[in-house]
Amino acid sequence: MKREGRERRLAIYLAALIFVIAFPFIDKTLGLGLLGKTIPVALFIILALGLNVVVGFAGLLDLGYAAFFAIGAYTVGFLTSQASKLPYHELDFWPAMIVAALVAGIFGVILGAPTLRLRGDYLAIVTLGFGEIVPLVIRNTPDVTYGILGISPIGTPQFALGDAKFRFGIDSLPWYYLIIAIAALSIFLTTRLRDARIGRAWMAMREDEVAAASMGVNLVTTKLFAFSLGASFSGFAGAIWAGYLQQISPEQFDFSVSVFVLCMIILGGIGNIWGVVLGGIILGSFDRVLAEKISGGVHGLGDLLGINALSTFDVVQFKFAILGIALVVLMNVRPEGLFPSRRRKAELHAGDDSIVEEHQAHETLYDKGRT
Amino acid sequence: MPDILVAEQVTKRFGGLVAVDKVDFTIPQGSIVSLIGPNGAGKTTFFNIIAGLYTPTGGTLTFRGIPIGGKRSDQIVALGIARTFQNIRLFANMTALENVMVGRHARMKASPFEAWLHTRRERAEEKAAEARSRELLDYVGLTASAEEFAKNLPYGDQRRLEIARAIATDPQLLLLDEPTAGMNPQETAALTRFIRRLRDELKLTVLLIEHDMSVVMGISERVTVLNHGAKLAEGTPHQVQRDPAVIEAYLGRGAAGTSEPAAG
Repeated sequence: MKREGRERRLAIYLAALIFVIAFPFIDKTLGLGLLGKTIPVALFIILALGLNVVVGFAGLLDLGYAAFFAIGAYTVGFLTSQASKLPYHELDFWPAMIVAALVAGIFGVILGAPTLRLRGDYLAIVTLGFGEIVPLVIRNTPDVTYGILGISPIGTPQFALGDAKFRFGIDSLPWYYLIIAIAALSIFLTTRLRDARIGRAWMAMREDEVAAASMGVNLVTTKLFAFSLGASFSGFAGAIWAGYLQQISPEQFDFSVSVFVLCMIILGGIGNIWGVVLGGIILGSFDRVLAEKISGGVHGLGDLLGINALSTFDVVQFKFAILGIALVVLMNVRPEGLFPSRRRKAELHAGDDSIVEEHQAHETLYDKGRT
Repeated sequence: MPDILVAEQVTKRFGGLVAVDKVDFTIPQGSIVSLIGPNGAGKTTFFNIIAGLYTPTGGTLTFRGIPIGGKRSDQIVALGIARTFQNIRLFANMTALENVMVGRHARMKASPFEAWLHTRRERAEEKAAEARSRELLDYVGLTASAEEFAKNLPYGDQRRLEIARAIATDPQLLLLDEPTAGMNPQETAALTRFIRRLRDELKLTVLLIEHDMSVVMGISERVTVLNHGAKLAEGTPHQVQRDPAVIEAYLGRGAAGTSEPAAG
């Protein structure tokens, strides 16, 4: 039975992989024009996977995650842009991307170190502050960062295949494959860690720090590794975002990004890698694609029924309100998210069974009394 | 037998409160030693100092000749001291097996990079850790519950799981903080036998905090009594039981000399 399950899982992975690889062609053939919009969605998935390590695995509530996204993007900006004020710039994109991930990882440690003793709400507030400080610093140091004007243009990756040279440009196709590859790598890396010694240590730490330390888990290194790994994922995503968009400015990295990514992992099923991926796809595509489509549908419906309010209702404008309502409903009905891990489900539904049993026991007693 | 743990003049102050006051204390290797005393006597604080949760304010603490005062919990586990908690602290949303495997953490080496690469060493280590953990679950009688979430286990099983998790760290000294709390007499008797088995079969040295006098008197070779943070008496269970100072601490002035102390 275990083997059957494994085969089925493999089949699902394979189907997903084929779909993802073939998607640009499907998109082109059907003339959907969605390829460009999948790129931010895929970036959100990478962000969500990284934040899942910090929040889902290690249980450290990080509300300033977008700061690392910004740090990654600006690192690439500084290193590759013609406009950069660094003495040595116009570096190739690939090394710049690696440096961006490393720099973001280092900032993860810098944020992590002073917050080691903090937990829960207190940690959330400090990370929230960090998330606010980074865009503010960017905004207020125009000599280095060009402030609100942002940095543009940014170096793009290129690679040579034999004699042919490819340069990533306006065409979304190479970007699509690059991001998909990095997302797949992120899934692979986080899955391996979850099932290893470090993954158990994170889980134990999330459950009970004191007990984890008493079992030999070094809280300092274990926490810092979670922080810096999550941050470097975000740095990777930021680097690609900068290269793809060719224009970065501080308002792209404000608090709402951190919250949006957090919503993805909560909606998808915190701690569960595939749940988080699906959460990223659902919310990312709602943000970038679906809201518009739904808006069109609602307008059509309004025209059809002759209801003026519907014809002019702009879903895009209200997407965050809709999102908010959806989250409130979901948290009441299914607090563990859409695709929870077995663990999280058990955690949030503790006692459900016993209530049922108690109820049944009571019923039996009552019935006995009657007969 | 040489002393595995030596505490000299160990003191812990919380602000103005002296929780542990210049305690001299030794544990001979291979023995079962109990720490008793009325509530608030400083037993658990003393325990937490040994386990690395608190840094002592004064005095020295050595384990197998190595000074351990002020070391972190994870360093102390690595040296060979494991503990359980007074109020059970299992990883509630992890399975029994996973709980014990966390206990193996200190004895494993694989880095995240090895986990990414699934190196042969990493896989062998994971496999060995799981095998050893299952063995320990067998040992404490939880074979059938390996895949159960810790929080779904009955109370007595949780206590035993906590002990299995502690043994998984390969300790030489095991600290048990009120292991029989909340148990009925049958369970208590079974656990008492189990603790003696741990010492005899696994060659562990055991330090016990216990309120149940039948347990303390039944299995300890030596009993130390704390009161108001200071050592009040020390000796064999028999000696301590008749010590007027101990009786007074437990039952109050006037009771001394009249009878043996009842269960504290």
